[in-house]
Amino acid sequence: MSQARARPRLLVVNGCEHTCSDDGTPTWAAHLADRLALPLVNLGAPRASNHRIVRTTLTRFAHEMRQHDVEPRDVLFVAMLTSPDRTEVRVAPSRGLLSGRREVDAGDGWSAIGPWSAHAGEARAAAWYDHLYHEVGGLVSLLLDTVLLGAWLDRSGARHVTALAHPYHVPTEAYPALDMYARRIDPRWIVGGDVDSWRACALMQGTSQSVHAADRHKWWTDNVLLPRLEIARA
Amino acid sequence: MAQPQLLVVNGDSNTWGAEHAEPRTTAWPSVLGARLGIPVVNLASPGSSNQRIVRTTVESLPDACDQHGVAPGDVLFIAMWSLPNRREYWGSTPEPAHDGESPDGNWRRIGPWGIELGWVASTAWFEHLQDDRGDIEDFFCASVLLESWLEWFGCRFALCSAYGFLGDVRREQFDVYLIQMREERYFRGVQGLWRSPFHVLVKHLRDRGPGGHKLAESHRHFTDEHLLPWLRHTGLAEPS
Repeated sequence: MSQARARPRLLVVNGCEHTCSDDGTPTWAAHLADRLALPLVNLGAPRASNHRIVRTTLTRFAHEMRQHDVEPRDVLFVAMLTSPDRTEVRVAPSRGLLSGRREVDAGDGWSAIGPWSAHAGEARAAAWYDHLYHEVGGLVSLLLDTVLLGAWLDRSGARHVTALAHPYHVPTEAYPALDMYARRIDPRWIVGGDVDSWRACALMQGTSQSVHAADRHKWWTDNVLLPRLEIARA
Repeated sequence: MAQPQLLVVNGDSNTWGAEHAEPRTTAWPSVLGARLGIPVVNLASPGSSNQRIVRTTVESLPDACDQHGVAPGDVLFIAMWSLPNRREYWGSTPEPAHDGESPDGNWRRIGPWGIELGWVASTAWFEHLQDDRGDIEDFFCASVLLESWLEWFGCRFALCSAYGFLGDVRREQFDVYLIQMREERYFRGVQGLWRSPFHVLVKHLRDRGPGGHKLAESHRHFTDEHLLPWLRHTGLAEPS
């Protein structure tokens, strides 16, 4: 993250239910805002996919800055990417939403697909998981999203860093080019500074999993995220 | 600005030179490379989706620079976007080679033609998941993201499109993306994506292969009469 700049005035985050819980329980985002004494804009949503995280960052970031009367350089943006097996599709009104459940972003026509929709027997989820999703493709998408979002946020002028909700396995034997992504990701863009540390720093990884669930977000914020945020040392 | 030392392009069959007897000399990237007197790396693939164009650009452009010993600032990159209703996915096995290409790992294409060919993934996509407006939103999102990455990478670049893809869709719906797109990065501006795509600019020429691809005369016309003058006008290539 860039340094020698004024303290940020706004914390903007995006992610899935680990960032914006279904029941209003404070997540790492609220703890971080509290520790940094910054107002918080939480763009996250339960059951969000990385597709949604990228899309809504691009479509809502400028709006939130206007709402809070801040410039990009005043913003600290933290994304927490989620499981790569999720996606979202836009559902035309004529086609209708196939599920009775509350849909993520049904207001703008995008609808989430994840393991929960497969368990519910949704045709869209069956099409996705039976014919289109593969662990390797999902992982490439996650890494590519990290590269592209990092470049977009750099261009925006905001300070930013990306974390992971879940660690991921690297099947390099299946896709040798995966190694290449480690060289495409700017170390300043990810928590930990290199992809191995990034995975080790995931919210649901290792040590943090041994912490009681109710305290995990606070523990992770104080022991994993904050020490790695340059802004916290300023 | 000095002449670029390497041309790297990406796109679909229109950039690859499908149905050309000698795509290495008559497809628009080859014609452009010859006019500029620089080598060409063509990352295009027939049936490519815009997803594939973004992925393979990020994966391959830095390596292309390294292999040619050229700094990013000396590279001219041009992407010719494809139709937004195509996708790609990673299958359990490679796609059978087509048009003499090497397989790209297990990446497989999804497009309307896949339904006619009985491709299960294409059928599943179009039957259950595809949406025209969603495709166009994904396209604009991809263009903004690739633009950002190319700026970060530090090469000169231009983005254009093969087809006019908006149809009856109101472009105002995508203003949140359009205002992020930088006019000077797009051949004839952002609106050039749907007002001046390759196929519109060469529509009056009658050369066309049985598969519908425009042939050598159209590619030469597009390069000499449209793309090259624009590149020179914008300073991406040296004036003649």
